[in-house]
Amino acid sequence: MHDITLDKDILEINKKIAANNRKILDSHGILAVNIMGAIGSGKTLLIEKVAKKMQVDYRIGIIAGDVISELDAERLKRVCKNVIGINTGKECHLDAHLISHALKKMKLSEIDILFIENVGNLICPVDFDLGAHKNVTVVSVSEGDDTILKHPMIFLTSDAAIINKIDIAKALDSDPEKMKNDALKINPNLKVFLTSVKKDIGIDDFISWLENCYKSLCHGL
Amino acid sequence: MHEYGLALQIIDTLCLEAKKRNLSKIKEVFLDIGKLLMVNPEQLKFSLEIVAKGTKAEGMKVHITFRNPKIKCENGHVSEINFPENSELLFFSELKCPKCNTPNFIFESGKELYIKRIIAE
Repeated sequence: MHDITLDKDILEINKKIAANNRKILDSHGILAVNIMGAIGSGKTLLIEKVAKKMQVDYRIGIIAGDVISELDAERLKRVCKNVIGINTGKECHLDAHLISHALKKMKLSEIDILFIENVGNLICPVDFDLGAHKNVTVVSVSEGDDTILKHPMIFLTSDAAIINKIDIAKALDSDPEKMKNDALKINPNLKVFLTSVKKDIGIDDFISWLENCYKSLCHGL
Repeated sequence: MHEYGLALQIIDTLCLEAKKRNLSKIKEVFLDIGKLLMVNPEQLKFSLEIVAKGTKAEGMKVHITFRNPKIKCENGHVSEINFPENSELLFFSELKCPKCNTPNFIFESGKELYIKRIIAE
């Protein structure tokens, strides 16, 4: 019988690959934004609309993560030519290793802003740094206005939160302002946007924030 | 259930170690987990049992110890925080540096998952 000391942080491997991803992105002057959120919160439509609006001034790239299928990637290819789909198989989140492979397949010299659509989940993506510069979490009022309180970690590790589908909040008896306050209680540094992506409400504020993030990144490099 | 994803990584790492060290069977594993990972120990043990099937780690005994997170405040104080079992929202919204009371801090640690030791044949 052997008693072996390993002292190995299994998440450290992911952190190292994430740091390398960030280095690669920095060397190309790319702002990478990890978009997280539950299934049906509106992540794909948000990326679709933001990419469409921003590509007038910026070159956009998208990595679309899904458990199975290229459905989101195919949908996003209609608005953006630089799209890669990733299937995670049995995993409920993207990780830095999957992103490193996707980056190898992309024409990085032709991208200013890279959106990474994570797998629909408010829990698992929190544990895995991808190497993105900004983490954004999308929640919709249809998930119930206590959903933010139930998932504090994802908001603690996010830079921005998007509270989506505010146009139907009344019908669902959800209070977007309560959701905003909950998010800020958990993370006072969070930038919160109230949106209806479908109705084009609040998207421009989010785009302005992304533009500032891009300018800060370029200035810092 | 992020425990399943973590279990996959633990078993992958253990199988690699077993191969590298020429071990035939992993009997016990000792895990040290940061409380900020918010792992449910029972779910992790259950996931490990499932994922380990058919590997050298099948049937191994799992020992889990939790570590408190550390914060570093804007004034440079590093403190270990006694993380409560429940009421996470209150914990995060009311957390301040125990040394200077500032609410501005970053987490220095708390999201680790260490495989500390194994007992193997």
